[in-house]
Order: sequence, then structure tokens, then C-alpha cells
Amino acid sequence: MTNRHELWRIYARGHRWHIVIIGLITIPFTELWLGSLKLSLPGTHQPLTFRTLAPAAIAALFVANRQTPMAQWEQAAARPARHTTDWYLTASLTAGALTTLATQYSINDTATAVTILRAYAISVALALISGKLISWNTAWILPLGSYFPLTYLQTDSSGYDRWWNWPTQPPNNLACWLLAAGSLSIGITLVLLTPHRVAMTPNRTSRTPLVRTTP
Amino acid sequence: MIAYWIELRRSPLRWWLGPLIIIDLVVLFFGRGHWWIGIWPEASVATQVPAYYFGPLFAAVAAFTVGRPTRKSFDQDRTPQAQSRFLSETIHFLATLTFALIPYGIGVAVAYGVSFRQAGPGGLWPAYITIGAILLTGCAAAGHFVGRMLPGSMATPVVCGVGCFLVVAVLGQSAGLLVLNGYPSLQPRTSAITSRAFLAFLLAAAAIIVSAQRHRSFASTLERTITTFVAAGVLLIGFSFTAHAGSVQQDRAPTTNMTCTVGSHQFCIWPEHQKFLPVFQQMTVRLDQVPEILAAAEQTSYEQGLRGHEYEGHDFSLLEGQPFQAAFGVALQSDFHVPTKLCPLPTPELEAQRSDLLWRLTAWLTVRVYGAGQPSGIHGGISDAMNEVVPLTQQPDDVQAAWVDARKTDITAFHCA
Repeated sequence: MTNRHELWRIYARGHRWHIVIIGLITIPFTELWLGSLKLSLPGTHQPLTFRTLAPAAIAALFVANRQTPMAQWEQAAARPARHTTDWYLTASLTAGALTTLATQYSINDTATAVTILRAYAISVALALISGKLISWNTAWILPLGSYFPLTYLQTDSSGYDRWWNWPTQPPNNLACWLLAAGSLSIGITLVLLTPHRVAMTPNRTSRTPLVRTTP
Repeated sequence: MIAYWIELRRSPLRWWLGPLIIIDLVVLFFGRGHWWIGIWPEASVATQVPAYYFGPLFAAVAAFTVGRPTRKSFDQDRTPQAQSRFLSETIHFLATLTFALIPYGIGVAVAYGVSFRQAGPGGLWPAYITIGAILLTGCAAAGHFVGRMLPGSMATPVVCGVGCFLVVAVLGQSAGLLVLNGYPSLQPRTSAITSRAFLAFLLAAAAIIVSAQRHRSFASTLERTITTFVAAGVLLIGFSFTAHAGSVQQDRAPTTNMTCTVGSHQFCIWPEHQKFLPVFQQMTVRLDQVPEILAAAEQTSYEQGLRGHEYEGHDFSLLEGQPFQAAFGVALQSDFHVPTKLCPLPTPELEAQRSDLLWRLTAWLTVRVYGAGQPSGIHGGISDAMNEVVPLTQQPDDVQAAWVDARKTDITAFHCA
């Protein structure tokens, strides 16, 4: 047990635990000071407030925190260290989700809280995909890049919200929830798809050994 | 120059040029429609709309790239370099700005290419294009400065990108950082744009100078303090100068240089809107077919701004390239020879009924002049009456005349209070 605590302590120190704390504190303060700011952008036919876009920045910050100068060393880490990596990310993202939900529920209504939570889930998925496909320290590219379609292409030519426009669609919109579930599934699968697991997949046609040995 | 080319070749941004060009073209051709094609001022405004997104993006990107040497512990290796620190900072900043201006410039070239045939003589208005370039420079300078001061790879780009996005989204239009409306009755104000360009230059210069002096090996603490205060003071003067320069657009003077249709009822439009002349000529022809209804209407309809801005509420506009409002304006001017139009009625319900009848007549005449129903992008107004009047306009003239007479009879049947 002591070893596990020590591992968590070392891992948190190397992965800027203070950024997680600052991020968690930022959520209520962002909502209080900037949440109701009305955004005036070229494609926005409906008033859009910053609270609907803020979760993308928070999610990007938490996921990008997986990057560390020790990344190359961590590639060779043993199972406990890998578990710590996954649980650290899960814990920080869950804390972010709970803080977002609590903040929105206490300041706004339940419908807004659920919509923002859905936006947070999709942003987390985008950050995971971005982090895995590009690099962890640029996990912010896709979440912040989503600002473009969400604001500029938010409505069709008749002025109606597009089905995928998750910040403005109502909280019970099934398509957006499917989008959240689908994107989260892709994001989590990509994170779990480590080189080690890929190499150990049993049904691969050409199995690559983890360690090449000379005949 | 060689160092600049090396920076361009080595920058990771070169891999993002393709996606950035695609985003620029998506902004040009999707979202806001294609109505701006063939109208030089509107096309010029359309080219600077991508800067709404490129500005915050390049604030984040500049913050990310400028911190690379520090994150890779390369700063110590740069200490003994022969090249001036100011020069290397300038090259780094210019390389980032170049990657912002390349897709922006391609967007400008494409907008020119697609507008060339329809718009006729003239060209894009450089002042509007400059506004976008100013925003890109300012955002990249802010990102460069913050990225050098706090060389993180995660929080710094996120804060710079989101911060710049908020500034653009909240203050963008009111502070004249960008414009969305390039209507020909408006023209760019040169002094305001020059002051903004000067401020962007000051921002970039301050970011480069303060960043270059960041390390103790290049300047003493006193020198750095003095430089920072001088830069802050100059920027403050620049901001106040820009604030007093006013709006980036001003009303264009009334002109006699206008393009008019030929017929008993004329439509006169700005020369920049000449691509709509065939549409208005058809509307004039349709108007000539219903002359008796329009006896009380004026003989000439002017586009907004042609006669001066005191007629703004009266003259029609071609906002977002939509001639429907011109047809609606003509229909609204007609009193349909109904004498009791303004007579007060005993109850609000009766007033509402009579207004509804008048709206249906207006809707009929609008569709008759316009030649089609209300476009899907326009909501409200006479849209409720469209289901009735659009099929009616397909009927023979005597059927339509009987319908109009019946409505007029209904209207005159109301007894005044």
C-alpha cells in the first residue's frame, strides 16, 4: 500500500498536480466571471454564451497533463506505473466532470448542467483522440478546434441548429448523447491501445514479437 | 534571410498549412453562403472572416512554438550565438506570422478569382483585407510574448487561444477588430485602420524586444525593467490612440453614380451590386404588369445609402444579397386604394384582423414582384401568408384580381370606431 501511495505521489509530482488543482478551481470562477459572456461570431445565429465552450478548455488542460518530460521512460514502465497513469487521468477527468456538474447545478438549472456535462464528455473524447494521434502536449488542438464548427457552422441554411451542435441542442437530444458515447468510446479505446496491447492481440495475422531475438 | 528560410522549413506548422487552407476555404464558401461572390466590398469582408478563427489559433500556436527552445533546454545553446537575439526573435515571430498569412492570402486570391467574372471592373478593397492581417499580427504577437514568458506546452497555448478567442468574440465587432458587413453604403475609415495597424506593429515590436531581453545574459535587470516599462507605456499610448481613432467603417457619401433599371418603376442600386441588375430588371417588368395597384407607390426605389442615410428606414437594402426586401418595400408602399387603412377600429381583435388582411395583400404583391415565395433564410414578417399567396400568384390574372378585390372589400367592411 505504501508503495502505491508513493507511486501516486511521484507520478502526481511529475505530472503537474497543481495544474489539475488550478483547473478545478478555474471551473467555478470561469462560470461566475465569464460564463454568461455573449459571443458574437460570424456564423452564430443564436446567442452563444462562453459557458458552453469553456468545458473544451478544461478537458484539454486535464488530458494534456498526461505529457511529461519523462514520457520516453514511462514507455518502459511496469504494470503498477501504467495503472497509475490511467487512474491519474481518470481521477482528474472525473473530478473535472463532478466540479462542472456541481458548479452548473448550483448556479444554473439542471438542463444547463446536463448540457454542459455532455459538452465536457465530448471535449474529453476529442482531447484523448488528439493526444493519442498527435501528441499529449497538443491534446488541446481538437477540443479548441471544435470551436470553429460549433460557432461558424452551428446552423443550417434555414437557421436551425445542426444535429451535432452539442452546446445548443437540448439535454435530451439522443443524437448528441450518441455522439458523446461514440467519441468517448473511440477516445478510451485509443488510449488503451498501447503498443504492448497491440502486439499481444491474439488474432493478429502477423504477430510481431515484443522483443526481437536473433535466430 | 537564410535563417528565416530555415525557420520556415523546420517549423512544425508547415504540416498544418493544408488543413489551414481548407479551413479558410470552408469559412469562405460555407456557413455564410455564396451571396458575397461578385460584390467587391462584400468579397473583401468575406476574406477577413477566417481571421476570426486564425487569430486565436495563431495566438495558441505562437505560444506553443516560441516555447520550444526553452522546453528542449536549447536556450543555453543559443547564448553564445553570433546572431543578434533580437534578430532571432524577429525571425521566429515572422515565420509564425508567415504561416498565418499564407492561408489567409490564398483565401484572398480565391475570393478575387471567384468574384472577378461577376463583379466587373474594380477589385478587392485592400483596407478590409488589412483589418484581418492586423488581427493575425496582434494575436500572434500576444501569443509570442506570453509563450516566451511562460514556456509551457499545455496551459500557455490553451490560455492564449481561449483568451484571444474571447477578446475577438466579445469585442471583435464593437472594437473594430474585424468587420462582418461590407455593404457598399459603408466604406473603411483609413485613419482608424492605420491606427490599428500601428498598434499591431507596436505589439509585435514589444513582444520581440521584451522576449529578447528575457535572459539575464542578454540584458541586466535594470535594462530589462526599463525596456518592459517603456514597452508598456508605448503600448498604452497606442491603445489610447486607437481608441480615439473611432470606428473602422463610416457612411459613404450619397452619390449620383448609381445603376438603375429601365421601366415605369425604377430600382436604383449601388454600382458594386450590378450583378443584381438582371434580377431587378425582371422585378421592374413584373411591376409593370400590375400598375393599377401601385398608383400610390413611388416611381423609384433606391438602395440604402444612395440618397443619404436620412432615408435609411425608407430605402431597401440588399443585405446578404437578398432582393426580396426590395420587393417587400415596394409592396409596403402601396396602399392598395384602401381608404380606411389607418382608421382606428373599436377593438384590438378587429385591428388584428384588418392588419392580417392587409399583410396578405402585401404578401401577394411582394411575391408577385419578387417572382417567388419568401426565401428560407428570411423569417417573420409576411411568412405566415406565404402558403396562401404563393399558389395564388400562379393563377391567371383575373383570379388574382378577384382575390385582391375580395380582400379589399373585407377590409373596407370594418366600421371605424
